[in-house]
Amino acid sequence: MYSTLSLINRNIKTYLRDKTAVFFSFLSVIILLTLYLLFLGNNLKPTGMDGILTESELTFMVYAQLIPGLIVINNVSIPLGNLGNIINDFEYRQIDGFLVTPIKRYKVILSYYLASFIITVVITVLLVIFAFLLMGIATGIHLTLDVYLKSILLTVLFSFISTAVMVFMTSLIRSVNAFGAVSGVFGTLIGFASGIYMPLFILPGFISKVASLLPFTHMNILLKRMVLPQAFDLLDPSKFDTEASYLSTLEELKATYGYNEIGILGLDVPMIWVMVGCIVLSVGLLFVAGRIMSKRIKN
Amino acid sequence: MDKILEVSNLYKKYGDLIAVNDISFYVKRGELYAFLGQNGAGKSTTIRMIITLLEKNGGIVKLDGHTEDAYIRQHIGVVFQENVLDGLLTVKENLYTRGALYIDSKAGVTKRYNELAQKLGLYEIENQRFKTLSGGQKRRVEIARALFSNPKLLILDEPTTGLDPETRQVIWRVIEDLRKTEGITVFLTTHYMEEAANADHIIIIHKGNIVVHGSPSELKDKYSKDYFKVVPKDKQLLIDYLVNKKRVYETVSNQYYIEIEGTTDTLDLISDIKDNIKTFEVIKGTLDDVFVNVVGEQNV
Repeated sequence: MYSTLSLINRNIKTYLRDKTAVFFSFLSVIILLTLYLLFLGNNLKPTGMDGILTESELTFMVYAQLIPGLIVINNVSIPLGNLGNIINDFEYRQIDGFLVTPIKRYKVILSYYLASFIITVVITVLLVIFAFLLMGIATGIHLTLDVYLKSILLTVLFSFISTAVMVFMTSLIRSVNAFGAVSGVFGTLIGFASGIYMPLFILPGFISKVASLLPFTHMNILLKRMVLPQAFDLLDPSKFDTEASYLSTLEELKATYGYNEIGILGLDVPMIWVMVGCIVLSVGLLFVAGRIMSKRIKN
Repeated sequence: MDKILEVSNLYKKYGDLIAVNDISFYVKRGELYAFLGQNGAGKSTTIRMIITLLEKNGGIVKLDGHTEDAYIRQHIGVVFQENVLDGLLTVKENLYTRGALYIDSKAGVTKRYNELAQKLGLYEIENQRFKTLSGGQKRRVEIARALFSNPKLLILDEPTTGLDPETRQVIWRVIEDLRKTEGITVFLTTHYMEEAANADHIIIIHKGNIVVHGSPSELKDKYSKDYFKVVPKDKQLLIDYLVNKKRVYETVSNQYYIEIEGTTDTLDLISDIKDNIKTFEVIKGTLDDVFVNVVGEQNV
């Protein structure tokens, strides 16, 4: 236990002290914020809401659909940032320094995963709290404690899933240069394909089907379903001409903001089963990644 | 005979290429044992199999009578050719991390850390990040890392390559002190023949096979020659003498290198040609000569 904890500590420190790796981990978040500031923000502001929502309430609604995407993309880029450690250790044979000691091989591999998971959870939970607080301060409307707690719990689950996917991906890569290229491309692809950088409704229909195969798409939707209800509750039905116009506006907002569950490949699969599937997939990927790395260690 | 390491019929193949071809040797407890070979000779492959980093295709490695990987890893220390410690961690953080892989408690690690810091003079650099250290300091810390488990066998893979001559001497003083005070057995690979010259026993490996082994003096006697270098006053007089006595010699500019067979032969030669000597020097055979002669023959 002491040896595994020491290795986890080592993996965390070597990441946090590498300013370049930490910066590139946050690059996806910076890209998303820039996209939002340049044109997404205006496109995603609901129109025709004069007299129905105040400016602050409008801003709250836009943030409420943006921030879940930020959190999920962060869950992708943070593990990608810190798992470069593994590639480094293998390529420059620093791992030999561990392998000539009595520590069991699986503990070396486990320590990489646990360090990545801990870093991802801590940074993302801090981001959740910071983003929600900022949203509250900027708009004067604060999310309830219940939303905070549920979002944090979901973040922990998402960190488990995304770290497992990234560990698997890392196990397939052999060199530091390849890792840099793949992680950059992969992170950006996930951002677009999961409806994080661009809402899915803007993209062609078949992209939605592809997106439904990615755990990150469903994570984004699930987190939005935690945060957006409080924003939708700001719509006062009495301020609409008819109840029908209130309901159709609500449905339109839900569709635009990617609030609705999309199932898998067009099939109606409840979110709970999607998440169970993601967990099973994660465990499977971790197992396979472990086998791949064990084999590389022997050679 | 107290054998600390026994390697029997070690074999490794990569596809059609036989990297290590059925080699056997042993290392006696307390010895300094040198392992020499060109790049690609099979040295690194052999070492990696001994230190359990590479799976063998055949053969046995026994450390103090034990073959289990777990036992070997617990009782060896390895200083690699490249540094394996983390540049961004301090000396203390690095050694605590690695120490935890041998000793299961912080108290135990702290105790051993203090012993090593004392012995190797690490206190003054313990809070510096590893990447900021000089080459020699880094090597000292790597040696500390390798010694954490109080190993029975210390394996040094080209430990001073890339270091300046002064630092190399410092590192060797550290290693010699450890041999004297701790009685550690040292197994060394090196390209520097002067390091191998201090060994108790040398093995030369070439194309996966052991070609020669023995003590430095045995190898020099058998595989190298001593020369008497002389600049004569009268060249022709010397040449006539050498031809007459059927002595083997080579000429480099105005210098004559005459093969000699020991002290008596040298004194007889000096006695014969003393009136014709302008300057002279006795050139002893070196391990470089041994290496070139042995490996050169194999190449042919």
